[in-house]
Amino acid sequence: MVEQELLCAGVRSVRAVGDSTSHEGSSRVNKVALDSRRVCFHKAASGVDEPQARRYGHEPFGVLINESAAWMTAKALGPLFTDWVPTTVVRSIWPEDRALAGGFGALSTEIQGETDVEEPWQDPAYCDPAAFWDALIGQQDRHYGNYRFDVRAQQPPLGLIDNGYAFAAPTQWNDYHPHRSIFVHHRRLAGRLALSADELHWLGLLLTDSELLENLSDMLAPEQFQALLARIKRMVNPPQEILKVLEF
Amino acid sequence: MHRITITRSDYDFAADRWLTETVCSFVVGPRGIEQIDEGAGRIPRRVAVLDIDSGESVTLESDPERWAELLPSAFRSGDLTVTVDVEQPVEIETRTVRDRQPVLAEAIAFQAIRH
Repeated sequence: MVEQELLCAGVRSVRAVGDSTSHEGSSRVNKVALDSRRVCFHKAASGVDEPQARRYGHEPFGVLINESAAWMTAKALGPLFTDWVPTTVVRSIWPEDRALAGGFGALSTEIQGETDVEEPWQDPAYCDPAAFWDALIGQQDRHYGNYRFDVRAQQPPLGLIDNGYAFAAPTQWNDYHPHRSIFVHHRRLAGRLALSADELHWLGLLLTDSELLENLSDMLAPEQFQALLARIKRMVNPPQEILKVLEF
Repeated sequence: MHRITITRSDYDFAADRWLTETVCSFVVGPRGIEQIDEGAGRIPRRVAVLDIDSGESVTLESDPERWAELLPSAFRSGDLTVTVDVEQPVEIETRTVRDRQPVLAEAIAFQAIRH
């Protein structure tokens, strides 16, 4: 339902939040108010910073594809992750704007909350599923500012936002120092290595979801897709533990 | 000296306009955070940023001013906007009486970096 809304709803208003930056490494992002009364984000393909994307091993358009692939994976895993991962579609909102390479970009829902708060990585109920997610998708950029958590809400979702630099492949690309997942780091630091029954079930779901795997195979670069499969299999096989930090 | 302001915006559908609120505002110098104007509890002190020139992670502790320069790159999702104003230190020239200027030479360069 939300996907359809993102794909079809009219655009009420747009505010550029990243187009005036002169800073390397940032991406052109627009905040978009839809006629459906939802506010979301549009990350334009042409706005992705190419040098930074290449540092992470991705083509600029691949960053958008990664966001969408992450959402598809979350959807296959079920309610916890559909609540925590922004719904994302690839959509053109300004086809007349040639500067935006046809206007295509990743249009994502917003998950509101604070950044750099302790509860999500201190509480295993949040930290462990988030670590599982980041290990699964090969997240290269989950620092203390790259999640959202509403400290004033009751049992708020943990916003696992910004999956554009996920789906890492273990190649020479990873010769820099990407941002290790803080959730994987804290889960391992606390010694909670063993995957839960739920986590093993989720991995089983992915391995048997032939439609999802076929779609991801089409969307991701071959080395990204192979690395994803390899990560799933490494976790399913004994000793059935969460992957190490930066184990792509 | 780097003055950092983090803001958040939302759309008021009734009024048909964007609203902006300041999340936090603070000044970073060579020794770290030197002044906090707003939102002390919401400063992202633990956030590490990637320096794409070196490939290294930079933290507030390891290199405060570089961290401040790079902070906008850590917030790409769009909900938080990081603005950095770079303030050059004031220069005072005292040569001879004849050369002395009646008003202190002052150079302040602003570089707004938004994300």
